[in-house]
Amino acid sequence: MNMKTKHIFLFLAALPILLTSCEKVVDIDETESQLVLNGVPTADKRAFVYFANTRFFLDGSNDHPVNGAQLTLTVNGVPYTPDSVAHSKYFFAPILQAGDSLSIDITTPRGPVHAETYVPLMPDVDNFNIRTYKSPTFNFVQASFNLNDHAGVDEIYRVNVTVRDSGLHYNAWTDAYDTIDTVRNTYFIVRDQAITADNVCPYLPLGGYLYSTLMFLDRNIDGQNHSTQINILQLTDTNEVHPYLHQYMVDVQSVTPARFNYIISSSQQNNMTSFFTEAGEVRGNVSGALGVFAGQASLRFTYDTVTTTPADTVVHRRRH
Amino acid sequence: MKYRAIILLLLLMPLGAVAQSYTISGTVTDSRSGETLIGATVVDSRSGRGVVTNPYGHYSLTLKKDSVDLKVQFVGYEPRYFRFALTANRELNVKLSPSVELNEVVITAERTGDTRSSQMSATEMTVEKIKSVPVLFGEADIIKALQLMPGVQSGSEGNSGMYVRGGGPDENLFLLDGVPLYNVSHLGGFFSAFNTDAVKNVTLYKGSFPARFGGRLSAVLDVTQNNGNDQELHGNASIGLISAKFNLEGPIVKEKTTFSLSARRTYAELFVIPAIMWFNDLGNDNPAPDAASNAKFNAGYYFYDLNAKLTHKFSDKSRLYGSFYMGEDEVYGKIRTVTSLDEDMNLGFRNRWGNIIGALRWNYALSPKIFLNASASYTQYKNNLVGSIEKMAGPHDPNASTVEGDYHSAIHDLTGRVDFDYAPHPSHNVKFGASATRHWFVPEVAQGSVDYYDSIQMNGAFQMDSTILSDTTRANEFVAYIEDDWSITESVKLNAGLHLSGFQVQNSFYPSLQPRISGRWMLSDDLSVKAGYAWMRQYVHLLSTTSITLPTDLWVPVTDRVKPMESHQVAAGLFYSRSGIADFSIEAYYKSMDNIVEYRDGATYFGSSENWENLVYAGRGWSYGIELLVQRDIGKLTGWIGYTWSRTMRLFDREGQVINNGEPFPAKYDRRHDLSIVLSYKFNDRVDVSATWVYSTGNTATLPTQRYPVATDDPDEYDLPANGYGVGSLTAYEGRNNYRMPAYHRLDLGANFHRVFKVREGSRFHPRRTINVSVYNAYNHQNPYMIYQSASETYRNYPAALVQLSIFPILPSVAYTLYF
Repeated sequence: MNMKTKHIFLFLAALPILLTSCEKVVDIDETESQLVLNGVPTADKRAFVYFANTRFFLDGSNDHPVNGAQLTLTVNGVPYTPDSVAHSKYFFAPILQAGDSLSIDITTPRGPVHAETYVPLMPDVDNFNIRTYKSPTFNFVQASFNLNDHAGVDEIYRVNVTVRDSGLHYNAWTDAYDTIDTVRNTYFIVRDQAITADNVCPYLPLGGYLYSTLMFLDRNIDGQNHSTQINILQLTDTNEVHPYLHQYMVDVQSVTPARFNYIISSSQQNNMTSFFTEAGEVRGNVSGALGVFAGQASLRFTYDTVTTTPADTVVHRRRH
Repeated sequence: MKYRAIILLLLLMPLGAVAQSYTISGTVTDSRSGETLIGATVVDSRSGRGVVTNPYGHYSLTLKKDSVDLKVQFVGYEPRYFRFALTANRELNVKLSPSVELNEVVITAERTGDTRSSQMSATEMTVEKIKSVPVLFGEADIIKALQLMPGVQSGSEGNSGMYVRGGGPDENLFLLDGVPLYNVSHLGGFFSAFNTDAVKNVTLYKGSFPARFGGRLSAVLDVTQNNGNDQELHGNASIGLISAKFNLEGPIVKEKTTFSLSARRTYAELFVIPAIMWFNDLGNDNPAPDAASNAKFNAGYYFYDLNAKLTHKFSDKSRLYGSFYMGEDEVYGKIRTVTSLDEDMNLGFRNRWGNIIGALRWNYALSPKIFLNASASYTQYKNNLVGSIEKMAGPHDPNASTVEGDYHSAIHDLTGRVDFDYAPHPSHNVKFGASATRHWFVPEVAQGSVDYYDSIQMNGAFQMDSTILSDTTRANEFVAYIEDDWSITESVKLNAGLHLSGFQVQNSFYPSLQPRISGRWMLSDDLSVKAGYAWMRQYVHLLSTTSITLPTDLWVPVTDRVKPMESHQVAAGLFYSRSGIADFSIEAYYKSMDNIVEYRDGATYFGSSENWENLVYAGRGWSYGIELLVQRDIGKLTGWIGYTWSRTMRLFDREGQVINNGEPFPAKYDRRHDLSIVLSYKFNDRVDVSATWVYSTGNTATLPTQRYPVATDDPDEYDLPANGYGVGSLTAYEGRNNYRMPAYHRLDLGANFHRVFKVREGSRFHPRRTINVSVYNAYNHQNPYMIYQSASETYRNYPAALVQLSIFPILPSVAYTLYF
């Protein structure tokens, strides 16, 4: 083999290496952290907020506390300081009630943080029913209830469906084992109208095509009798899911406009896992920090699936 | 009021015609092929008056009664001289002979961008020039060659999208024989729809648009197909790394009726066959009970183009042209597997998309001073996606279940148009005309059918057929224009015009009167200064990803709610031509854009035609820059150096339509520097080499900067493990397009080896061949195509990293072309 031939062979040998090195890690500058305040004051629950530093977006760690922060929560004009602090969660004494007015003021070495909100009225729900149907390979759960509007008050409702499993299962999103999962393959039917992805307003299903959350304004339901029937149909089409399903939960919530905007924009941002989605900021209402401080009132209806007869079972249960 | 004054001025211009003038008119053609020559100059050296031939090779020159000394020339051809006394109108058809053999790399000078033309911000390219540039996969490409000119940017690596002076890819009007082509991309944008073998002339207008063009904000690419040789049969056949093509042209009736036919097809699917066989054999070697290992699949991709043109000459005054183009891409796949219930399951999909255009055109010289072009044309772009799932117990199972889905979108245009060239006076060359277009927009039609049999669960069959999303939007577009190329003095020339358009859609009618003006002032014989202004309006939007070209991109019209886009562009420049050395030009421009649309935060593109108005916000934009061009077209060493400094911004601050908190942000393809160096060296008649080096500032992208947890009413949820990718965390941005990707640079090399075959004396054919060897990205620079977050990589002490994907490493290619 002469020198020229050797060079040709060397080149041909190196060619596949050259052709396959198409990815490399990009060197980027680390950006400065910001403050984040999360608070969802909820009726009948003890008040708490999460206040911390944000983390660099490639950082996987959980807790980045703010040192030297002084928090004051004011409920109906009465100021409170935190009772306890754990992992950037600040707990306050009062149990909140529907109609409470709240503000929070935080002083930090990086500047003041302030936000205001209120706790909405509890949703008025009756005739809550759950029906299950099972076959060897095909299951569904159907929930229905009446939602009665409070006269003279503009309200925003959110209906959320989740399940609690009987055992731990791996959640690929959080890279952890947990017991709570959002129900997939869920369909909402409001006053005989199926809610589809293009029916954005007045009913706003979130979570993509397989959504499990429904949001809407009360004035869009029915201006006459202030009441509507809502049906939730959830299909579980394989045997592999159902045996683990332990509790089926429906949350009916009244939320403040700030909470509404926050949920919508955070849902849009979660859609950004798609390559075909434009990036977007989450809309908050906190001055001096990211996050949201926005109230809600919530009813939870829980159905224990393992305790009922598997076929054609109708239950009427309200567990708060 | 100001419009009326402009109209009056334009109408009165021709009336300034003086008595005792006569008109010389005719057609300039290639003496060997009979092909009409576009842009040939016809100049009377006594009076200094001159014109250039129109897209059909026709000219009309009105001069005072006198003796004339006419020079007819076209670069690459021997000039011809005519001297006679002009005492009456005269028809003069001129045949020019090529000055060099066509098998050489002929580099021609710019016509519309030179020092003497009143037109500026335009680039004219010959096919030979396009073919002299080193190419990707051995396939010369018009748009990729134009991307090397200043003011024109490519979108991303290898993409044939054009971003002209800060405008998006949907703001360019692509005309093939005067008919709009809606999708000019093959293979995700790596090739354009224009087959260079079928093309005669290419002109790109970046600004100072003549009044006859309209409908897009940023650029007009006017591509003319070959008419066909009217003397004898000629053609070529070429085979490259991933495609083959041929071109055949000749007379059907000598000097009367000609045809030109070109076809191109890729065979890239052949390269994946070994990989498919290897994958399908995996299951045989390692039999396993799971469905994945039993899967057999087949997949492929190809595209083809077909260009055809028929020309008939009734007389020297009357010609008829029929043009046809059809191009289609197809990607397909099929997977056959066995389920856990021992049932056969077949999954298949096929996605086809492409354009069809057809045009019938009639030219007639009504008089020596008036030339008529009347045409009727049709254009269509269609995308069709079909998917199916079939489940059966065996090959002839009567209870097989099938689910089929069919999704398609389309746009159809039918246009009637009439254009006139009118030369009333030695100083005036007037063009006017009108057109009417009927648009049909079918953004999305989805059909599905289910034939389901389930003996266990449903104890029987279930059938369903449905059609959803089938709305068609109809719209009408009307255009009228007038422009005058006015030689005010020997050194001052003005091109002024008006473009009147109206678009009727839904319950709205959008009228628009757009003035266009450009002028040239000769400071000396080889130095001129030019300036121009153009107002453009656009009535269609492209719903698309902002980074890559996909068949799912949808054209939608303006609506009652979404208003037409508009732009105002001013440009000025200095042009210097040093005979025998090089041409120099420097242009500065400023362009403002209004009602441009951007996707709102969080909008998802797929399935977006329904309520698409809800997904976009309207705002403003502006772009400014300086373009430098030095080019040499004569001698052994030819080529050009183009440099652009530019800035392109967007602002969305209207109520309810705020992006980036209402602050200005850089457009996705905002680039500060863009440099192209293109050099060709001809050693001799048998070998020429070329090299291209490009450098540009990196594209922008929107990347997160910080991360924080989702607000929840359950304190325990904050303690769940988080790795930064779950639904439990949100991201903060420092604004849209806040990140600048690494700079892009690349060197391409190419060489052509020509050989003329010996033939017997008197043979009609003179075969020759060219072997083209190209190396794309010669020093294998990893240019960014996209950046994504990866959990499988780490960065510093973090468990994740940003990863840059580069798609084209060093890519050698070879192509063989036989001419006959």
